[in-house]
Amino acid sequence: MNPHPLRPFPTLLTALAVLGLALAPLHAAAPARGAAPRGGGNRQPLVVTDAPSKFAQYYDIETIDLPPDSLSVDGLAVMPDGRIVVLFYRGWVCFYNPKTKKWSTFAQGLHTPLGVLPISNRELLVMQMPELTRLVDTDDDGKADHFESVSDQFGLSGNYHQFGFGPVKDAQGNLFFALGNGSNQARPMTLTTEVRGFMTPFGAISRMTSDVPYRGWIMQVTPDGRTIPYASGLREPNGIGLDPQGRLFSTDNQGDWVGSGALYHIQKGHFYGHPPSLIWREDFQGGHSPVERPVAELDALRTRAAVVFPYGDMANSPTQPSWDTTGGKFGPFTGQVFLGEMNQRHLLRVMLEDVDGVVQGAVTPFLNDAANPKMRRGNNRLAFDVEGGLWVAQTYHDAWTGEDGLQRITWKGVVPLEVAAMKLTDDGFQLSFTRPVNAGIASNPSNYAMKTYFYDYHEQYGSSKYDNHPVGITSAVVSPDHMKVTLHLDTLDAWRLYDLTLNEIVSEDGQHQLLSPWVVYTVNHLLRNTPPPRAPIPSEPALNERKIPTYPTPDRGPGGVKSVGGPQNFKPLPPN
Amino acid sequence: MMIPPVSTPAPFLGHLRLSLRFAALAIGLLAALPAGLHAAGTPEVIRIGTVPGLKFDLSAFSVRPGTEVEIIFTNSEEMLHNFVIVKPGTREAVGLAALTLGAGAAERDFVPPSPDVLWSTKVVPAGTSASLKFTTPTVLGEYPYVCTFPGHFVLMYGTMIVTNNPLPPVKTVVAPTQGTASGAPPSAMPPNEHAAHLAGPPAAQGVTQRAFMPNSGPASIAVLLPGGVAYCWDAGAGRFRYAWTGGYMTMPRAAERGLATLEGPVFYTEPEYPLRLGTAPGGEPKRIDYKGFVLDAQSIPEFATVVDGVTVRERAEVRNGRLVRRFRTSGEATVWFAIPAAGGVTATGGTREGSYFKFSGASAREFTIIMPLPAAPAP
Repeated sequence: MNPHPLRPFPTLLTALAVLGLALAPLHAAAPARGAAPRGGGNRQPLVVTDAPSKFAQYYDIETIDLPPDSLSVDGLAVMPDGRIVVLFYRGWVCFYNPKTKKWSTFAQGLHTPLGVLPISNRELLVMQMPELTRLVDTDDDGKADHFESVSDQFGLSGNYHQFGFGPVKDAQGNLFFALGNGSNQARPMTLTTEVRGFMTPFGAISRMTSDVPYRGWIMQVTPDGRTIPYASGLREPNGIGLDPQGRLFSTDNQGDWVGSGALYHIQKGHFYGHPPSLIWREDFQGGHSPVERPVAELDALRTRAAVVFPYGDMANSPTQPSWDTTGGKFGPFTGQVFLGEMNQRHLLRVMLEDVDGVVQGAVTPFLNDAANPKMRRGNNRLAFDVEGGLWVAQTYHDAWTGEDGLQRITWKGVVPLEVAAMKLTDDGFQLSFTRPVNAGIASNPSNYAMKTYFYDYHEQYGSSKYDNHPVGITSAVVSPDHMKVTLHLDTLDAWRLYDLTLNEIVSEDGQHQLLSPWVVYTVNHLLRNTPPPRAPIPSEPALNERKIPTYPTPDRGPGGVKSVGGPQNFKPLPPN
Repeated sequence: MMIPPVSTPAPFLGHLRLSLRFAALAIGLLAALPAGLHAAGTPEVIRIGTVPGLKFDLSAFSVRPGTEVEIIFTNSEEMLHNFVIVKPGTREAVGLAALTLGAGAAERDFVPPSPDVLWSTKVVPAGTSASLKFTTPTVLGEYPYVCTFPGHFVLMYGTMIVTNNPLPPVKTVVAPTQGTASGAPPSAMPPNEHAAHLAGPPAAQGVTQRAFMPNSGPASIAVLLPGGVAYCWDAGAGRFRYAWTGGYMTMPRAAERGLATLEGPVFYTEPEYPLRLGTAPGGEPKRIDYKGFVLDAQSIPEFATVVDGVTVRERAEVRNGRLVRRFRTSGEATVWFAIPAAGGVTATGGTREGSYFKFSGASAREFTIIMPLPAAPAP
């Protein structure tokens, strides 16, 4: 099924991968799989065997064969009976049985489904572009026959970027899903001559747009079926999740108003910084675009990310957060968050803590090893199974940066040496390790390199690192059991990232090197007496990002696009 | 992918309190456009052809007001087409009127006797050309051109822009690419067999695919019925939109990055929500909520909506060469169905009152509307 012309040259390719050279031209030369034409050439994952890997003794990666012509895996979950439910970009809902290694089809005909939540072995909730849909197999023939609309009370205009993410379900039975913004880069803004939901151009004068209701919002569906806008200010929230305590989180992708990708703790009524979605709040309706408000005013409204992922080597496009609830079957990380990342050949591991009433914490790469190309890019959906295996779905989607595939990562039972926790102290951080460390090495401050910086809040796409400078480490104190090291810093300030590289750290028995020597902690609050956040750096409005929305002009005369159905209960637009 | 004829910010300009910088940007863009076709002082000759998928090869062209032009229309398709220029905003009305011409339609070259028709060619057989000479309107605006051969108007049209501005370039329609985002999922059915089944009638099972459909809302559903008829159901508006024969539809390679392309001509377009609950006329529903659909053993969907508190279920199938639409409703209300202008539509269990079928009592709880199909596949 997958003749791979690259196979004869594993050594060369491994060398290229190590050097970080672009492999895209080689990919493009490979024949397309099956009959389906693809833009951008074949994006088959690079398979190079027998490469040495520093994590091979701890974790195994099994690659699952996809059905022919299946394309990208855009959704993933574990069924109660242990089957894996997979959403394919082509609108299919399929099951993979890990015991028989066979595929079957539950449903087809969905429109860009990006999230699935099993309710029972015969019932799924699927988030597709137009709708949150309940799929039920009522006659036990293995195929869905009921396609119930659970929620379509949000706007849709045919803009290609209006993706829907989720759902998740809390202990009270509330469902949550997330709505991505449209793109002002789309020409035209809408494909169809009608849209669903009230339409306002004032949500569209920006790079990413909310010109129909609730784009950029997290939505709640109550147990009695009402759809309620829950929290605003997300740009492209490709991944929501609930932690074991029932707290809601969402990732977002770097872009306009988002300095770097991040994980947010989502709370009802909060605004997370991407302004176009504010147009649906009562206090923002009327004849102005929210992006035209003073930046300082928008900044004061927003809730900061719990953890910011430095753009570039850590993450460009973070994806779905998934909590390790395996009770240790996946290694020493129970309760922590694992996330996908589209661009890097690694996952992310996030360690959260409550500080001064807010959730914040640290991120570190997981299974980062350029020498092991079994680790792919495009890691988009994650799910733990009852045996403690972590299923990871990769997507290339429509010319995104990833690869296509499905993998299962399992722990081999040997505890790796990793940072198990990073906690804020009065003047620095306390690191916990998964194993006792060599105290002589770990107590030497010169084996740690700490720097600090912040990302600015502004309309222009992304942010540089500002005020980036090293921080002196006055001492590194190892605990009596050699499991913890406390770093005392020269200075510690709020509203900054603290970016730590650990050098030379090895286990006490000398058998294990630190797998991920890079951890970045987002200090929003200090333990006490947190100062107010700094003001955004003064800058000119990003007029290049503001564009007059272009909608198709159906030959039905003035009035242009017609709004039919969906949420309509908004203040009318001001007269001409 | 269908490219909408023209993209302009015009519909919303009136609402936008544009600051000067936006206005300057817009003017700058216009000025930057190349001069286009126009060459002052000589009669314009504009050549328009056809491309597969019911399209003209130009989606728009520009002319100056009050000038002599000649349009040479070449039909390189296997189907019959004409070329009709209509008044702004009247394409749908003229296209729908062409559907109701009845017996004398072919003699009229499928051009309806409407004051909205400005200029038209005869039917142009495959591989031939026709010429249309006229003086362009003096009133500036966007004048649709359309093929009024029955059903073609839904997809086959473009825009003649009458303008004094520097003329934007002619827009060329790209032929639809092959490939589909639906395809064949893993199943007991061999992929080849499944592909053939998707390609067209006769099919044993229905196919249901959500997609961005032309001339419908964005939350649309394309249904292919056993018997070879396909229709578009709009889950945003909660209603049947149009039906076509000759195949199913092709989705763009990236499912959210374009409109689906119909594989055959539309033979029926439902102009509005057809049911009235309680009274008609005047019983237009205030609110329609889409609730989902159920597939039967043949994978034929029955759609459910709640219309002003009444549950309405709607299903279509092909039976005895007709499209049979079954409606089931909850509650007590008398139900009325607005009879399509297309003609030949009958109903079971109801009585005709004016332009409606009326269903009372038990027959209001379940009734069928029976619609004719095109006699033969389109030429």
